[in-house]
Amino acid sequence: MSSSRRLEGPRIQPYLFVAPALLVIGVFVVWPLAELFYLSLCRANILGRTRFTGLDNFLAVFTSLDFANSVRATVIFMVVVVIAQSTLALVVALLVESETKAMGALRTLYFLPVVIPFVVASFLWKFIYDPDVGLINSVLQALHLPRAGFLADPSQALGSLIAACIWKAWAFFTMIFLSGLKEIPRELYECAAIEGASSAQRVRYVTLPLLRRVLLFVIVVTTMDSVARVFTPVFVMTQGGPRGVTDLLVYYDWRTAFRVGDIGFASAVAVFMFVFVLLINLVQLRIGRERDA
Amino acid sequence: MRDARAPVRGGWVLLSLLVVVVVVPMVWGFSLAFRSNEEIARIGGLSLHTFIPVRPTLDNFTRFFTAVSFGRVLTITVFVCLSVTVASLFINSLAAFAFARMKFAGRNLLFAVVVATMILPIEILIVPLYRVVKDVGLMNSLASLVVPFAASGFGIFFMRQFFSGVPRELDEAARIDGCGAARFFFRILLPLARTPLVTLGLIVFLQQWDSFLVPVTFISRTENMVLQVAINNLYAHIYVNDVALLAAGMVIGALPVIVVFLFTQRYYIAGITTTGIKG
Repeated sequence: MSSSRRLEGPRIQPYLFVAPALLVIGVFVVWPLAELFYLSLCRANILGRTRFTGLDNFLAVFTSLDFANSVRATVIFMVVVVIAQSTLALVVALLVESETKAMGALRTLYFLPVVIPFVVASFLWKFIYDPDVGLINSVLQALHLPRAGFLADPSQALGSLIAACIWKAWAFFTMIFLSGLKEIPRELYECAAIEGASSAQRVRYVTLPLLRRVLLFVIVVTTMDSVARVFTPVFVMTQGGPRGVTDLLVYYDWRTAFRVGDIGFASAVAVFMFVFVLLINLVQLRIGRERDA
Repeated sequence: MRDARAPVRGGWVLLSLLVVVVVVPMVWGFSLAFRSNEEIARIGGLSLHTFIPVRPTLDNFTRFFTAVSFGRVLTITVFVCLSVTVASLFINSLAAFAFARMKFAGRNLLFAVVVATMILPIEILIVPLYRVVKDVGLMNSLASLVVPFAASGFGIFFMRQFFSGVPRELDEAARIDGCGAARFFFRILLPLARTPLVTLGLIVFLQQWDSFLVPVTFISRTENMVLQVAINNLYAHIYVNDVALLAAGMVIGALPVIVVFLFTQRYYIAGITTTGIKG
């Protein structure tokens, strides 16, 4: 029955409709992915000479101190951003939701950092952190506090980078939480209020349990973003320095390929990231499905 | 009722504090564009002039326009953003329509592959993508910024969501009227899809405007430089430490998207909350 209700046309027509898209995705996504795995098993440089060397690159990657340093920086970045940013976004969403009138104006303001290009935001924070003319040091000076090095100081650079990235992105996740909050039926809050639940109890026993799916989504996206979407800020603000403390994996991967020219090694690093991204997504699928059942 | 108010009042402190944290850096940073470098060097301490230029000047903008041959950079940037937007809206909708409304062998498998590509960040694929772009002879061309992004798993998924929701009766009516699939798509379905098309178009356009990793990797020729790369190169290679000049570039890089955002907020935020994809 369903086939008789389908649109009529030559058999080949559906394939003509999907062909352009599949061609682009095939050539520029699927093929590169296959090539990534192949390159990771080769000794290859940027000029194009490749020779199959099996697992040599992976051996080199896993014994590299620079790689270990990069993984460490990435994990710290990821854990701090996931926890701090998600908490901030959730708290703001809960507060804004209870004051809906002001939400419009607040939303517009909060959203400006999300909207401006990452290159611009990165330069902005590079200057804000500047040891000489930077805004924060001006404030510290006015308060008669000692100046800080921020991005120039190995003990502060990663923290400074994290703060700038959270500044850029948190409002985005507030919007996601707000759309999740909208789905929660009003009656549940009224019931809870009648039962004498305080507002803190309402958040704890009504809002959070019903927001678990959204929370999971936010955590997964933030985890992915903090591994993958951090090239621009590192490139613009620190170039991985000082002393490699902000050498996050995506940047490490990129500079190994395009500055050092070791494409085989870089591909092995990228395969490592790919496996991580895949695992994160499988976890999400798994938990999402459990919830559905 | 008293219970409910207390945390909210405390909340206003946090919400106001966040307004300050969000707005103050931007006001300060963009104010640099209207100062001379001499004035910037003398900033320090905290006063009204931390945020308002002592002697406002537009000099940095004129310098920026000549330093990056602005006409050319802007034309190229807009051309790339628009090309990707138009091409991807068309190609993705076409595929999404077939996936949503037509039956063909291999459909589910192909769609699964398309959806699976959504989890792949470009950052992970940049090395082999560089090789592919080189192999097909697109390196250093504007086509290298357009063709690889003319279709995307996300775009197809997004449009398919909409097309699947259109009532089946429409297909039936079209069939009875002897309307073929192609005509049905172009004459009936696409005009209905104006809102999702605008939303997706906005997401794609802003994503492209923001794009940095790809152009900085694929384009080394100055003639084909897009705005974000031009801003970076100006400061990193040509006018090192010319903060005022770069600040002018920052204003120019951010202003168009801020304006677009202010006018299209509704679409933009609807797009985000339904898809969870950043612009």
